[in-house]
Amino acid sequence: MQRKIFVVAAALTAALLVFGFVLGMTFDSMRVAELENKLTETDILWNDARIQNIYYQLPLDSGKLCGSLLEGNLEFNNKIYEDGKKIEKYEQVNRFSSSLILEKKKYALLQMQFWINSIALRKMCNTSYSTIVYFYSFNDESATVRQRLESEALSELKQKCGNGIMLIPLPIDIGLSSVNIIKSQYNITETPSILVNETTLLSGLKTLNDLEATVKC
Amino acid sequence: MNPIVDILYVAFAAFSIYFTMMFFLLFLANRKAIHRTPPLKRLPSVTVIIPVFNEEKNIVGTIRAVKKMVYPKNLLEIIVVNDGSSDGTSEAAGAEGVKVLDKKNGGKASAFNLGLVHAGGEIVACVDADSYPEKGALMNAVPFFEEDGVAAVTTSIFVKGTDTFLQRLQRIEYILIVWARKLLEYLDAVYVTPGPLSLYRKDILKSVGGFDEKNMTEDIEIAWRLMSRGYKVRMSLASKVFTNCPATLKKFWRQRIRWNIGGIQTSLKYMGTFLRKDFKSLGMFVLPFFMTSFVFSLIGLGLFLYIVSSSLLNFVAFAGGAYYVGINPIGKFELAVLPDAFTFFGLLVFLLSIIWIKISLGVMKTSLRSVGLVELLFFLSLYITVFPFILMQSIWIFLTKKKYAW
Repeated sequence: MQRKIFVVAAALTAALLVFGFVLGMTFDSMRVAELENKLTETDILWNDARIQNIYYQLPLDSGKLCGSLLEGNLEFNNKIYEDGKKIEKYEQVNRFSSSLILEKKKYALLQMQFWINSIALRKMCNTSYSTIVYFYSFNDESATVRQRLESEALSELKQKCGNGIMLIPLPIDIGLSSVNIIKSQYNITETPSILVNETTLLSGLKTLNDLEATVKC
Repeated sequence: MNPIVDILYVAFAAFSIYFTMMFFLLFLANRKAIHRTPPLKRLPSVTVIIPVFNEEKNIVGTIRAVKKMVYPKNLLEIIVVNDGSSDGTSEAAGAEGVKVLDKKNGGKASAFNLGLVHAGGEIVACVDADSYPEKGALMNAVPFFEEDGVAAVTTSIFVKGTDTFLQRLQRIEYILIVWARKLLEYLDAVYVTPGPLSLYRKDILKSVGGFDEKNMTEDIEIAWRLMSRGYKVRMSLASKVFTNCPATLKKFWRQRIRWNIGGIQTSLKYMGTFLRKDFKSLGMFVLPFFMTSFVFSLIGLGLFLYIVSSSLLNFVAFAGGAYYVGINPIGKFELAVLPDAFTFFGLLVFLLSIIWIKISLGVMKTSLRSVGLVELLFFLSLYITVFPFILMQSIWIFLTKKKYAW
């Protein structure tokens, strides 16, 4: 028997498998690096908006400045919403890198900051937009289909309402204490759940009609 | 995907890559010798045995093809063994001037064994009644017996009629099998001596007891038995024989179930040789190769069913849920194919298969055009996907001891 062939075939197979795994890890790292860049940009955008906010809270004529503040907030909302979609897409394929979960945490913190800012702006500028916080699970695979459906329904609502709503998706199970506080404050026990204007909690999968009836835009 | 599915996927890919690599290396190491026929020193006498059952339409063509083979007439004997046919097979064969032995129906192996008792040749050749050897088939096969320890020589089997699409797919498969079998010869691992045309040293065949009449694939069993006794089986690429293959899916399915059950019977019969060095290639390669092929076929089927069914379930759940939620599901299904290790492995296995087929066709002097691109794509996708399903049914039939006729 040509025994050497078995050994060489095994060595080649091992080399190809290692190459495949290295390639996979490289792709994972590239995706994480792309997200890092995006979130850094978003972070800068957020800090810019936050500093504007602090400045406008000085005893100046803030009413005249509300327009640009709201505009900055909206721009931030759109940007962070797109980032969220990208993270969702990448987390389906990234298998070897735990860095993605860190990016997810950064993203969730930015969303939290955005939510708080939106509440403050609404009061300060006396505007009527609604804040919709969409709570979903990052780890529960059994909730995937329900969450996708709710996410699509909220996207349709956003398309209909435009700037009348601020959509803030938040993962509830990635170990952030600020999110845990919100969870226990509003008694969120299942996903998907939706919190409208910090007053109305909709638990479980809701139809587009349910959402339209609750959210006035 | 869950981690168990991931692990099975990688194991399946590793198995496919390993054996493809092994065949590539065998080819590279032996490419100059593939078409070589050993020099002929002496012409032995040959008895061609044609076991036949209800083949009135084909038997005359087969006998005439055998008679046309280039071989000294005084050294060539033809015996047709009529295995209890109810049509005019016996008369049709008799009219061709060959020896006809009639017996009660007992299966191909028993018919061949009867022919073996009456054979006068030093070499006995088995030819199926629906197969047509080329003129040079015998002359190109006989020299392989010059090597010490060779008990059997098998030949290149090709599909005769390609009227139906299914037959054209089988044509590709047969070409690949011929080449793979030749490469396995270099590992002393030719694991089958197929019925359309295989030759045996009569004294050795008699000494090991002839064909196993209880086995569904006596041509696999006899090759394993010869190997288990330390004999070699060789493959003559230049000896060509054309055989009828099933034209309909029903007949094809039935044939493959028989092959699988025979394979299982034979594997179990020789389980005692598993990884035993004293049984050389049979224990160290052929049986482990068969066993892992069975296991990985089932793993492949499981992965295929899991991926398809979970995708389908998600699709149905999403579509139904979209109706409930009040959104339009059209355009919402994302096919996210992003590069990762798993897509790399899938693409690699596919690419290696394409290269393997391309080289096979080149070696067998068959063009891609003559095979047909549509047929090739079907072969690589649907055709090979069907085999694990057939294997599952075969295992079920085997385990439930359902009666299954030849």
